[in-house]
Amino acid sequence: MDCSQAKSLFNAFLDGELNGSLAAEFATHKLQCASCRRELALLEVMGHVLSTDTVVPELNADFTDRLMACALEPARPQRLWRRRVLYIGGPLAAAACVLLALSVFRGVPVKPETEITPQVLPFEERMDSPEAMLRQVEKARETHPESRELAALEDALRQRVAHIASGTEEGTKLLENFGKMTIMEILDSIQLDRPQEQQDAQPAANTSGVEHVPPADSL
Amino acid sequence: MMKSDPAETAAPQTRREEQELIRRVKRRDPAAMRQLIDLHKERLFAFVWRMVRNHHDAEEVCQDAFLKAFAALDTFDPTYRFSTWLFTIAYRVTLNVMRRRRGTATDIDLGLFADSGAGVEEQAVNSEEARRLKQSVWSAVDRLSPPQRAAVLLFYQQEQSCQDIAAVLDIPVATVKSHLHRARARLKEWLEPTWAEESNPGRIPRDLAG
Ligand SMILES: [Zn+2]
Repeated sequence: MDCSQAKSLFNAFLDGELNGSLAAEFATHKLQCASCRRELALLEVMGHVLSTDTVVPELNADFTDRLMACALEPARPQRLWRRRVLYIGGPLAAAACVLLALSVFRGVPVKPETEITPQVLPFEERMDSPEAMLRQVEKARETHPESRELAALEDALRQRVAHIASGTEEGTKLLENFGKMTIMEILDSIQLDRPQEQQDAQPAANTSGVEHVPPADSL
Repeated sequence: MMKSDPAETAAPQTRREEQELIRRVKRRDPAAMRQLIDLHKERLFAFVWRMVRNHHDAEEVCQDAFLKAFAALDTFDPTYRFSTWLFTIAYRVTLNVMRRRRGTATDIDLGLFADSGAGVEEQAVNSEEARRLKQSVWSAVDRLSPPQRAAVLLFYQQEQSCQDIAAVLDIPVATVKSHLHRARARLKEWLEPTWAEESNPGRIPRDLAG
């Protein structure tokens, strides 16, 4: 066996798929050839690092609790939330619009609308819990720290989350109602500025089942 | 009695135990849901974090993956392992997240590299040279394409078979192998200079030699 033959067997060797006489020949070549030995050693060290260096950051301690809270939200009637396009004006004028697609996952992954940018708030998220929505808003604020609207939305959501966490009867009721509220309604309740000329702000990507929501006051 | 000790949660269940657990989760039994989450969350997070390299995104992907799995549990084929199915869902969500944030600057968790290598004790043993090698291996992994990176992580970190990886990535086994082999070739190519600089030929840093 020569070097090129040996090298062509490296992957089979590393995958544990080298058997019988071929394995013996390979081993013999390895014994005799410093170059192949060295190359294989590099691959093996690499594999060793990859399989043993398992340090990753820790999951937040409340991961399971938060997830359970989302998973156990009161069952709602099988209402398919429609995707909605929502406008936020002011400092986000350049951004023109925010797309929020609200959908309850129904076993089929939602296709990403990658052509729609900027996505101030990701649209592929379940937005039917205040925590989930809050996380999205927080993330959006990281990229748009200048937006007063997002700041107001964050504050409002934070208050609701705190309210719900208080465990009072009113809080529980709020949680129940939350899933029935649209983002639009929540935004209405905190009185965000609305752009004057929404028609001009229409995104090119208003296709594929994404529907425009009329200004809140006409609802 | 079913208290989930982190050390134990990683232990694989028998098929029957798993099927029973899934049956209870289908009935929305909260204890069973919790158990299922605790059984899989750490491994899943480790994989996703290595893919997206951002704590916040990784947690979100995991959460989303679990919620999607719960919602679609009726379509779960129990001839597969639940973890394979969960990873399949998570991988898809991961790709979406990566696609979504492409072009936008995203924080990458780099700090971890500094003390990558686990406990204090091990760190004391670790030579600077070994630590740098680890670091270069992981930065090389970060440069791989998403499917190549996923194949590498599932194969080495999660110790999955090529068949399972094929199911997770939803590609043929042969393609998994080609991803894996190409990834190895690229990693080797990128690491060779580091290797040449940092160690004498033929010498493997002692604490990496296994
Ligand atoms: Zn040779």
